[in-house]
Amino acid sequence: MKLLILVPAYNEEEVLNTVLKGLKKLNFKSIKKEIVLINDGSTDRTEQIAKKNKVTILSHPINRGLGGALGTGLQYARNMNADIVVTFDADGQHSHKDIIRILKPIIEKKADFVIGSRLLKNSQMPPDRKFINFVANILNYILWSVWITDSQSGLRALSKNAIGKIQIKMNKMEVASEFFKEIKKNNLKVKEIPIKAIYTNYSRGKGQKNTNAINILVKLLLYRIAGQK
Amino acid sequence: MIYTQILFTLFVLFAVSRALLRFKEGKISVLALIGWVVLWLWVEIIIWIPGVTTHIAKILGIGRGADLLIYGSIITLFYLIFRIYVKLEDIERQITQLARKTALQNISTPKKIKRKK
Repeated sequence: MKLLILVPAYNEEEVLNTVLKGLKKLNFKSIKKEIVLINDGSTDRTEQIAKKNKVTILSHPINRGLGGALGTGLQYARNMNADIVVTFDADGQHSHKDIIRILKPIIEKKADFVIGSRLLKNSQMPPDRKFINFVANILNYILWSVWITDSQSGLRALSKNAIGKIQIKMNKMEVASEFFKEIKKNNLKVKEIPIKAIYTNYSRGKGQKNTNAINILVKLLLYRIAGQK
Repeated sequence: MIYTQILFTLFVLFAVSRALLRFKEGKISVLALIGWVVLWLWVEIIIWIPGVTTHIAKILGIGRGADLLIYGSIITLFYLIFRIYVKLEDIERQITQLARKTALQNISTPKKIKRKK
């Protein structure tokens, strides 16, 4: 089995080394793992750090946003005929050990799409983030009728079936919700697994700004109204 | 009054000629040309017979002709903004596709790095 770990990164020189070192420590018996860094037009040393860590690098010439980067990663996964894809944030907020746990339902064929939820177990998420997340979850439910406790989580695992079917069109952070639109459209089985979230000042600063939520809301509503292009 | 009417008419003629020119160059479709000509024709009618708007306004149940113009303009503007928004999103997506293509053509794998050394 072939596993691709997609790490979308935009100017992450401060933490990227630690993140990649953590991912490289992972070892599976029957799974061949490839770490793929999607350098989304970084202007800092992100690419050099990735090169030093000897991972596969896909480089966008200009910054396109999280959705653009994940879309490129998924296209690469389809080209490489990957069996499983894991998406992993480059800002150091996930623990590489959680990958093993989110892979389990995929390997056991119990789910097509696994999301690592930061909110299933006593979470350390800051209250303002929790609120925004909650609103996003409700919106998610209204738009695509999928209920997820942490729809905005960056740690996901996709089965081969999901890799083939999920088409990402949105460029920016709206992609987190677009995944659920695709899940609904393609009738994919979803499962949530509790994960640990590491909230540092760095990862908070790198993540979404709270005010961006309104922008995303407008875009998603228009997307829903305009239909599935 | 007549001077302003003539001035506006000249402007309308100029605008229509622009639309025709762009159609000749193949930059806009027949449909777009008809749309623009009809729009400017309406403007022309309103310039010379301002009473028309009041008449239409009454049919639509809006009090004054001037109100009808404002409502109409706002609706048109909203629609145009929506169109531009959709177009922009489309362009954004096309740029992403371009960036994706470049990224997938220049994949840097660990083996390649070794060879370079």
